Amino acid sequence: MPTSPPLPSDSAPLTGFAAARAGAIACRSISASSFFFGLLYGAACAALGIATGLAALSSLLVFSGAVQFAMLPLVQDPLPAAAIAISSVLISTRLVLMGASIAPVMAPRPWPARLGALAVLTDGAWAATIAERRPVDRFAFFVGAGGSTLVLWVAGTTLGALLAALADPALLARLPFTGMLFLVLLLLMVTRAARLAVLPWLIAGAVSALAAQVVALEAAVLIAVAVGGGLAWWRGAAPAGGR
Amino acid sequence: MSPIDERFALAVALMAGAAYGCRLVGYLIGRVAGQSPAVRRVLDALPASAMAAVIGPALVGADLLELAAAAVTAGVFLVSGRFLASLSAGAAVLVLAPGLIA
Repeated sequence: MPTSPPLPSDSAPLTGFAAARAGAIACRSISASSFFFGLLYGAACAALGIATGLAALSSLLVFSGAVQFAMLPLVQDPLPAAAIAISSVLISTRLVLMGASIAPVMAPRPWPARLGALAVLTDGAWAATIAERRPVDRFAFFVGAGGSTLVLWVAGTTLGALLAALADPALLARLPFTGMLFLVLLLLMVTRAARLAVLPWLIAGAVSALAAQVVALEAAVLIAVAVGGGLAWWRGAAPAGGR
Repeated sequence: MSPIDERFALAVALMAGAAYGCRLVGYLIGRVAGQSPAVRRVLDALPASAMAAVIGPALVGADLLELAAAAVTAGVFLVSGRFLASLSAGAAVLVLAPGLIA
């Protein structure tokens, strides 16, 4: 969880650059993690033969480690575009919830600023902003938290892609699977932090693994997500203690 | 531009559109509809199910070393709760174990 250094009790509310800097400081541990993940992601891209500039551009434009890592194994010939689009949306659905949650922070700003700020909405920036209790310009704080994470994410990606040229090809061949490790971790982290029930996603994973043996991956993902979502809805609608 | 770069560029466009679209849709929902418990419940469940749906087939197709790396990653996180340490441990198994075995 992000932590904020205390301010003197008589200090004025932070605004502008000072608020953005406070956001970057509050989010520093997550930003550091992003740099590390960026190194792995950049190296994994290089292992697939993807150009360094394109890898960096993907981190800049997508800015979602879960989506980027998960989709790397799908960059095949022919490209399963529908599976990538559907899976990206489904994995990004938590951004919908965070976007809804962060709406009051955006309210006082003009539309161009809001639309630009949404580009840096990630788990870390959202968590740091929601947790912030000091008197601070929360919009600038949010942009500082998300922006600093983005800078380190892109820097890590670029450095990882460049350093990959020095690495053993056999080692590089292993790196794309780090995307799965990242996704496993993210799943466990979200389950723990949001106190999600394990059964729906466990069933979804099993259904997808089985369904992928007989239907295309995009269909398997859709079936599994429908089963997982339906199960979660059914459990939520059940009387207490019923399931 | 190489064939892999062409495919990746298209994938990036799809991923970027999906990620930003979800951020924007969420913001618009937050502006006009607030957050009902029912909507929150489904939104909480869908991402985890989607992640598991991607992980499931990948684990079925994984070799023993990759399965070991996934197990170490999950195990370290469940014991320590530390994200970075867990990923480092799993990545270490993935990249160092082949050399140790050989």
